[in-house]
Formats: sequence, C-alpha cells, structure tokens
Amino acid sequence: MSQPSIASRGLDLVNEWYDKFESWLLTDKRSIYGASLARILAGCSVMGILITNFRVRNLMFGPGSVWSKPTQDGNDMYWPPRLIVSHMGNTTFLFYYLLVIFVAFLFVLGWHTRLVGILMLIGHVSIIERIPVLGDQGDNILRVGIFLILFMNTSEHWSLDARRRARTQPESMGGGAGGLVAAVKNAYNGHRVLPLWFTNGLHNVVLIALGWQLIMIYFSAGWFKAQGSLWYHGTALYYPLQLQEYKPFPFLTDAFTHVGVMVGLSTYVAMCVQIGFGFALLHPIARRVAIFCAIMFHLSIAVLMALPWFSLSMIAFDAIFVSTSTFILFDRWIRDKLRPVADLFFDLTDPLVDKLPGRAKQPSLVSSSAD
Amino acid sequence: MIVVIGVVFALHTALVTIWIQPPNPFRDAVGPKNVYSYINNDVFPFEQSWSVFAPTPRRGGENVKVRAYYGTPGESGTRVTEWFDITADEDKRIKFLVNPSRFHSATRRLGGNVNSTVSQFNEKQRLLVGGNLITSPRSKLAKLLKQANTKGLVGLANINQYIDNDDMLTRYGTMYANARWGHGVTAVEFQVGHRSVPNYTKRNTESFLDVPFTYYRIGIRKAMPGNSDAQAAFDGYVHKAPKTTKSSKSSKDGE
Repeated sequence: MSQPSIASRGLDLVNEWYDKFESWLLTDKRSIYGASLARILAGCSVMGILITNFRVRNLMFGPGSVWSKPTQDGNDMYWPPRLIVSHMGNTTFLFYYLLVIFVAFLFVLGWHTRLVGILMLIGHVSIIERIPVLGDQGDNILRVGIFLILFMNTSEHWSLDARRRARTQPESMGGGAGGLVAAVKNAYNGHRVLPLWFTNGLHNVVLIALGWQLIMIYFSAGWFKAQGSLWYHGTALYYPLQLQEYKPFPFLTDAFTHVGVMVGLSTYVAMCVQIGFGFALLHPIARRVAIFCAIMFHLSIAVLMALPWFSLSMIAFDAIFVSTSTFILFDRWIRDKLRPVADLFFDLTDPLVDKLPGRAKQPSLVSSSAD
Repeated sequence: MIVVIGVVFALHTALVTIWIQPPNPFRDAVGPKNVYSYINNDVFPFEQSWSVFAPTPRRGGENVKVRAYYGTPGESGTRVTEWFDITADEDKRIKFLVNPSRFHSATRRLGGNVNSTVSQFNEKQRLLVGGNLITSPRSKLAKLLKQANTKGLVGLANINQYIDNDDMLTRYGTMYANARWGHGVTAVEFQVGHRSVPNYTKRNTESFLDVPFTYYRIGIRKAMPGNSDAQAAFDGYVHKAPKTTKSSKSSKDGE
C-alpha cells in the first residue's frame, strides 16, 4: 500500500482544521462567562463615568458645555444620538442623565439585556460625545466594545435574564399569528428565537472580532512605544506620572519614581506585555501570565494615574480571554462567599417578587441555554 | 449567512487593524482616505488611536490664567479684575481623587491646544494672537493669521485649530469670569503657561511643581456669554471671588 503524498496529507490537515473551526464556530457559544463579565464591567464603566461627572454634567455635556461649541459643531460623527441632548435645558438633561444611569444599571443586572444594551449605548454616546475636546481613548474602547458585545450572548450568567429563562418555558413557535406571538414571548423571556447555528455563529464571529480588536490595541500601543527613545531607555513612565492630572496621590507616585529600577522595570514590562499580549494568548500558561499582567497594568493606571473608568473598560473586555474553567472556579468561590448575603437578599425580595403577575414559580439555579 | 457575517466582521477587523497601527504600506494600499472614511463614519465611528504616551510621553504641563473686564477695555472707569489661575484651582480639586471628572482638565486641555498651535506660528502670527479682539469678529483674526501663513495647508489647519481653541477659551473664560466676579463681563484676557518636567536624572532633586511657568499673553477678547442655563451651570461650579478683592483700572491696551 502506497503512502499518501505530502499534498494529500496537507489537504487532509486543512480539512481537519476546517472541520474543527466549523465545529468551534457553530456548535456552541464560546467564552460566555467572559462575555457576561464583560457586560457587567462595561455597564459599571458607563455608570462610573456618568456618576463621576454627575456634579459637572451640565458643564461637560449639558447646556453649560456650549463653551466647546466649535468642536461640537465640527463633530459630524454620531449624528443621530448626538442630537438627542443638544437642545435640552438643565432640568430635562438631569432626568435624561439619570435615565441613562438607570439603563446602565439594568444592563449590569442583565435585565432584557439586548434591548437595554442598545438603549444604554445610544444614551452613553449621546452624552459622552457632546464634549469631543475632552474625549479620551477610554470612551473609544468602551463605545466600540459595547457595540460588539451587543451581538453576543452576554446574559447567560449572572443576569436577571438567566433567572427569567430558568423560571419560564420556551413556547413552541409554529406558523401564523400564534407563532409570531410565541416568538415575541420567547424573545421577551430571553429564550432562543433564531436558529442555534446562527446565534452560535454570530456570537463566535463577534467574539473573534472583539478579541482581535483588543490584541491590536495592545500591539499598536506597544509598537508605538517601541519607537520612542524614552521607552527604549526605560524612563518613559516617569514623565507623565509627574503631571498633576495623573498624580492623584503624590506620595505614592514619588515613592514609585524615586527608585529608578522600578521605573525601568515598569516601563519595559508595560511595553513588552503590550507587544507580546496577542502571542502570549497562544499558550495556556503564557495566556494567564499576560492576562494577569494586563489586569495589574490597568489597576496601576487606575490608581496611580486616576483613570479608573478607562482601566475598568479594558479589564471588562479582557475578560473574554479568561478560560471557562477559571470562571467556573471563580463562580463557585464567589457564590460560596456571597451566599449568606444573597440568601438574605432573596429572603427579603422573593415574597415581593412572587406577588407579581406570572411569578408563582420558584426560580431555579439552573439556567437554560438561550440568547 | 454566517459566512456573510464572518466576511463583514473580517473586513471591519482588517480596516481597524490597518487604522490603528503606525503608518504602514497596507494603509497606503487601501488608501488612507478610504480607511479614514470608514473608521470616522458619521453614524457609528470606530475612531481610536493607541499612540497614548508614545512614542514620546507627555512631558509638560499647561495652565491658564484669566482676568475680566467690566466696561470697554482701554477706557477710564472700566473695572479690571486680578489674574486668576483657573488650572491651579482645578488641580486643588482633583488632589487625592482617584476618579476626577475630565472637566477639571478643560483649561489644561485648551491651554495645551493653544500652546501647540501657537508654537507652530511665526513671529508675525504670534503678535496677532497677542493683539486684542474687542469689536471685530474672530473671523478677522483668522483672516490676518492666514495672510501671515507661510506653511501652506499644514499652516492653515493649524490656524483653524487655533481659532477653535481661542473661541472655546473665550467662551469658557467669559462664563467662568461671570460666575467668579459677577455677571456683566464685557471682555476677558488670558495668559497661557507652560512648564516641563525635570529630566529623569534630576527626579530626586527637582520637583515639577517648583518649575516656573513660562507665560505668554493672548490679547483681550470680547466676552462670549452663554444662555441662562449655561451660565447657571458655571455659577453652581465656580468659587466666588473674595469680596475684599480690589479691582484695578483698565489697562491701556487697544485693539
């Protein structure tokens, strides 16, 4: 019997990889724990930004932001949402602002996540993009990241949608008006309406797009740094840390910059982790090291440079790179720790919730697969 | 269907990748204008840039001082306030705050923008910026700056950027001054300062905060007040000037 040719073996290998990729893409949703955490943390970022700016909301985004009129007028982008707040007075804007915070809170809770997510994104953009002159990259990654996760299933875990799915049964969707009503009911209750292969495929395709977006962010940020002599010489971090806007705790920053080795080490680690992040994801151990370094990097930025919401946004989307097994361990650990608090909470709220129409059934801890 | 979606997201991802990397042959191949128009589309832009603190990190700080005029600058009887350092006041508010509002950086941002544009002006253009603009529209200043432009399209873009920031600074300063010294401000005047972080080798002997600012003056600008809601927002934010403040007579600057 003759040995298969190299070309034949090559084709077999390609076919095998293709089958594996197709199976990965269509048979299940990947990284749903990460997507769920991304939803929670991205929603927290939106809430955090809005609450942080609550006192100066009129000066930043409302009628008082007219001081930045030239850049507001020159901003052709985001034209549909931007127009929402452009003619609001102080009082109307206050209610709108509070509404968007509330919608972001609902997104964090995972209440009708898809609809609420769209509303939150529109609300967030309509407010934040009123002040392009004070914009930063945190706004950009948050906007782009939230846009992408709207196409994903982010309510599979740690959400009210998951509880509702566990409490209700999907209705059979036949033809005609009855089928349409059933589809609407299923959509309302968070049950699957579209074919599984489609929702799996869409979730996973967007997961790849988001993952690649993050890898490219890290890579380009590191690549730009590698071109600078101060980064090359390991002293770059010292300079921005001296500026008052990035120095909320002077004693902490001074202690850090006092030791040259710390400055050099941090500068090189920041640059190397950013450039190597995407490559590190290819190996399980390197991936864990890279994610840990990235989280530490962003926590340092949050505290030392007073940029908590940018940092939280990056950590939120980095969550998609954490493995499901790690999340299951984390889920068990946090459930154990929080069980007394959760029990107390549900002891207080369940009697009230059960009185609501259609809430006679007890919630189950098991959530069904849905979108 | 999934293939179509996959192709759409693959194209999107490819364009974003080309956009956020440093200038590269792929961007040239696709056409920088094509990439730009996709990334910065009107409806939902994917605008982003990750050259933060790179290749050269920020090494300088800016601040903005303002003073206000009540009456016509140059005429007797016109009240002129003392200079007030808005940025320093904002810095006091953000100390020990791990989640400061970006609004505290507004004057620093505007001052930085003004600094970066003025640094590219020639001597004649700098003199124009230092001149007053009390009765003429800002378009006149723009016209004069353009007449003095020697740097072609780059120079024109720089002038447009300066004019926008001059306008924003004037609006901000007017409402700020109204809130601090009382309503009725007719003109405002600015000083924009810059200082650099001491070299790394001197980090344990020199403090950035001890480095003096180098100031230059932007001429007097006619006040640009906002509507009552806008002014109310500033009134609720800005600390009122102490009542003991003595005002001086008008400077003799003319337009």
